[in-house]
Amino acid sequence: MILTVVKNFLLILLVVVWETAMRRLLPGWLASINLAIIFLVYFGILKHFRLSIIYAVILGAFLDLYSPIFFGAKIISLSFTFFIIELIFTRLLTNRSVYAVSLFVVVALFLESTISVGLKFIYLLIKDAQMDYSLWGTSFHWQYWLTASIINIGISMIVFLLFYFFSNQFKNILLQR
Amino acid sequence: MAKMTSKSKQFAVIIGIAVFIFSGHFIGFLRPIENLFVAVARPVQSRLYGLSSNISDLYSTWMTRLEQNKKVEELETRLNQTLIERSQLKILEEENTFLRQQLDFVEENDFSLVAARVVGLGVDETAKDIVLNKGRKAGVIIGAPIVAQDKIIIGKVISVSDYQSIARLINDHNSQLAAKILNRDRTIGLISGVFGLGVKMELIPQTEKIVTGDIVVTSGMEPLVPPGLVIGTIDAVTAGDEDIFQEASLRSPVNFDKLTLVSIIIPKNK
Repeated sequence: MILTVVKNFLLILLVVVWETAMRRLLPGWLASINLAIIFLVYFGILKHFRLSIIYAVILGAFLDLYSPIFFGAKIISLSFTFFIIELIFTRLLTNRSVYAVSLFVVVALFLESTISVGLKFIYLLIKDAQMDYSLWGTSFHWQYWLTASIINIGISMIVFLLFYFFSNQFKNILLQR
Repeated sequence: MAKMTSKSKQFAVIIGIAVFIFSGHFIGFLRPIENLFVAVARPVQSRLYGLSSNISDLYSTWMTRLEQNKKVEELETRLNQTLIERSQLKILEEENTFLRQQLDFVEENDFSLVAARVVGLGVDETAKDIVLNKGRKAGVIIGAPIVAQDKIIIGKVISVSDYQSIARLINDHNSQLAAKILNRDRTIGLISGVFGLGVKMELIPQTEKIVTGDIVVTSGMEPLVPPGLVIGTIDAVTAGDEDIFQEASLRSPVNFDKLTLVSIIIPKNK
């Protein structure tokens, strides 16, 4: 029990440190790696997406300590993302394949980004009475999305292979004639 | 039916946790945990921030090197070779200069300076925010200006907790700063960022004469921002015939992507 708590705390610390101290400083495509989403997707696939929502709330709370918008923005964006995934997408993607992981990651990235930008838009509207439409333009540029999707799919595939080779989580089943 | 009940219970637990965290944060009973997490994360953040900065430096050097001529390449290679040997000395020298500048500044003004280290960036991808290792306990307040090097303003504090604060850089799209140009008319205007790509000065009346190279400083019209802090120099001026105001893009003397050590200006009579 204590070991699990310590392990999960270290994982959360790793994600928070990555998001705050490393990610956006790194050059080029490295800055697109969203460890928070990949961590929560894998947690959902390996355990349950409802547990992912709980972890999204806890991880969001720690990330919110570094959020300039308002406390709760990350909690809301991450937990709603995984709530929608649990509600809709777990019925569409029903197996533990690399394709399902990739799709989950792309969908989660898109949902989280949309909710985050939406929250910031509303926050600026309330705080400064300012309708900053440019937020949508910069966050949803097709080139950024293409790069972010490819990079995060790539990273999630590496994680998938690590699990595949070093654990019993993703065992293959060959259909033989 | 039993399954439905179990699912509902699980969602009730999730909502319960969220409500507990929200109320804990805003009432304040979770503050010790938050402070503990920040304290645990800070040293790791600080080291990894430096590492990322070095990786970023290496990458940009590599990209630049592709575009530069052979002579510049040779000079950079030589510089990199001596960089490791001189790194410790250089750090000490920089800190010494920085502290001397701080001392001079404090003697001249009614403000005190708090030295802070940049330990990370804000999690909002659409903003240009930096996380500093000094917070409320060090006297930092919201709106306090952040300076780098010799009295060069780089941003303002927008969020403070006990042991850390978040500052918005002046190149952020949502930042605003009252400024004046050191020309004959002492033209005033408003500084804002251009999506992290640069800094511009707006609301300059068409009648004012400004030229490239003019120095832009803080106007002192904001209560917490002392006058005369350098913002940058005029790089280009754009003015349409039918516009009421002119706009100028600014060249900042600071590289906003390589900030490690900054100062927070706090009023002495706070």
